[in-house]
Amino acid sequence: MAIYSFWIFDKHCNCIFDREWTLISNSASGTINSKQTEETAKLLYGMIYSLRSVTQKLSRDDTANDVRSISIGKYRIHTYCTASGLWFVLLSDYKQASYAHVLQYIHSHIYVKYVTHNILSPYDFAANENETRGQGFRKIGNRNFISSLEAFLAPMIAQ
Amino acid sequence: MKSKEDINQSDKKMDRPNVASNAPTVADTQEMTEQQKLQHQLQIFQNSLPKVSQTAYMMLLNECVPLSMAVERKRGDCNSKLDRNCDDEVSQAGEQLQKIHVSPPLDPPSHQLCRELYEADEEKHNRVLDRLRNIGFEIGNKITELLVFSNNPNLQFKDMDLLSVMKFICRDVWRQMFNKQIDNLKTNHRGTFYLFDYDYQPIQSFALDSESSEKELQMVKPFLEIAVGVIKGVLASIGHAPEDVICLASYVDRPDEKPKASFTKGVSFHVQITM
Amino acid sequence: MAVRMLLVINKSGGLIYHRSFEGDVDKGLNSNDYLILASILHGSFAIATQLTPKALQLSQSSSKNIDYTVPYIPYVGMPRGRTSSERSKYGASAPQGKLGSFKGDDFFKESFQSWNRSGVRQLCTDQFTMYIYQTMTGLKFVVACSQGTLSPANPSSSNNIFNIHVADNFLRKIYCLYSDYVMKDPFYSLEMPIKSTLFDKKVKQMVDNLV
Repeated sequence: MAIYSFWIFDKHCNCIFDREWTLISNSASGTINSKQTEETAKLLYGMIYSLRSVTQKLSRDDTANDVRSISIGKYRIHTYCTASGLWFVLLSDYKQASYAHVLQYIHSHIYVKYVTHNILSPYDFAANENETRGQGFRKIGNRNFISSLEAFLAPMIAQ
Repeated sequence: MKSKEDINQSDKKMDRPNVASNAPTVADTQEMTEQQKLQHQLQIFQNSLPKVSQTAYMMLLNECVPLSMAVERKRGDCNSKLDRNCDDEVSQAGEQLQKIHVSPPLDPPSHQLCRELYEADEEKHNRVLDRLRNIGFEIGNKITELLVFSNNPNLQFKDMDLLSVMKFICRDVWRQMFNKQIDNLKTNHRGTFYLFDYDYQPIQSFALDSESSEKELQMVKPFLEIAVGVIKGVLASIGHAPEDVICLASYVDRPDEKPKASFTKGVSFHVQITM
Repeated sequence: MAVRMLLVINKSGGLIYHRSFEGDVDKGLNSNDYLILASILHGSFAIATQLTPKALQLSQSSSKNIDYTVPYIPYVGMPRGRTSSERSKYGASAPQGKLGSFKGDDFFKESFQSWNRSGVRQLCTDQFTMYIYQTMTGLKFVVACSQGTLSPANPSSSNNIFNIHVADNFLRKIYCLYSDYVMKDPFYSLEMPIKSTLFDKKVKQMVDNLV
């Protein structure tokens, strides 16, 4: 069980936070909110978005049918979508069945606490019309969020 | 500040009867003293008060700051419009027409208003802070009424001495407003008091960047002004006119033995009362 | 275990076979939607390769360690009586239908390699789980089932690896049927939609056997 990267997307298709670990042995390695991962973020969003549109269509009734996890050869993508349009995405190794509880915890105990309740941080990261539709560049940079997220995820990186 | 004295200890002692009275058991109802009866009554009264979510309340309290800034912006807009329209009757009429038909545009989001407040010139900044202190002043006035006249047996303003008034602020007002007590109270017994709150509740989750900076502290500072207003309001309702009271908020370092909270600094309220 | 639908996608992303096993599933979907579904699944394979985490790209050893061998799980999708002793007991009295050109009582009896190494293998959603088996030639077999697993022996299995293996075993048998009844059909032209009634019948039989 190991995790490789963590992403948050907002309702405007923007990636508002990304964290990728490069060395499994070192929980401090890797990048936070890096420019280089922009392309990866877009691909990841696009893939989940299209698979999600399919599963929504295949829904048996009118209730939303969300993608929970996608298993891909060497790794596995876990998603957690909130009603407010936020997506929490975690890439882990292929063995772990579900990280739903982990993502839910991040949303309710870390995101809400340090981003929503933080009046100095925007609640909508797209400041104007031009930053919607994946054109946004603003990211979550506040230290409380990052440090508590790191503290929460660090034990899972190399297990 | 010559004879600084730590009266935190006595504070704790006074707190005890209140804690004990929280759950009077059926067995000792007969032996309840007069004091306990009053305590029980207070408890019933407090339980009967309408309850509000702590989260919603804190959010609303914090929104006062961007709100005050928004008011300041509106005021500025109006003034400039008035200046402009004095010699232009036609456009004034058009302006009014627009006001009638179009719903006013939304204010910018709170974080942007906070930033504007930080960047505003001193005159504007002070006007906003005054507005915030006025909000706090009103709250302070009213909260005293609520706390003093609810037959609270823990309160004895025997000779209305300043120390007991300050203790009242530290303990009862702070608990009512922020769900905690002031951590430390220091005085020189000559009208100067220092109230230390090492984890002032409303600002705990505020942060700007990955590094704590001077800018962040300055941006958060207006949020302390409501509490300043509250202190002044309470003192005013007890008989210390606002002109005689100086109250200032500043940051202090947290003492080492305090557990690390998410905001980097504690808050100190410096109160000076001329008698 | 209830299989909701089965798709076959050719190597260029075209849908060549589609069948729903629950009437109400495809209420809101027309054939065009299914074509879109097939191409999205196909497209996600290409994207998935690009998304390999850096940590995996850097540590070659750990990615080499991953074993793509799928173990043989006996009698998935075969008639009831799963242990071989039961099978021989009933086998004499009620002989199984012939497995086309395949010898023995199961299509294959050895473990096999999965060629789906960097594409989507399993897609879990609130209402169903989808498994994708890819052949060496790039053909994709897709099955969606309402429960998490296809294994009739462990209907409540939540072990994902096991579930993927069961589904791979099942879909490989569909592949066997495909090779037997579609590839040998003289009127079938490659990469085109499958219209064989014989294949239809055999697929239905195998799906029914799962329940």
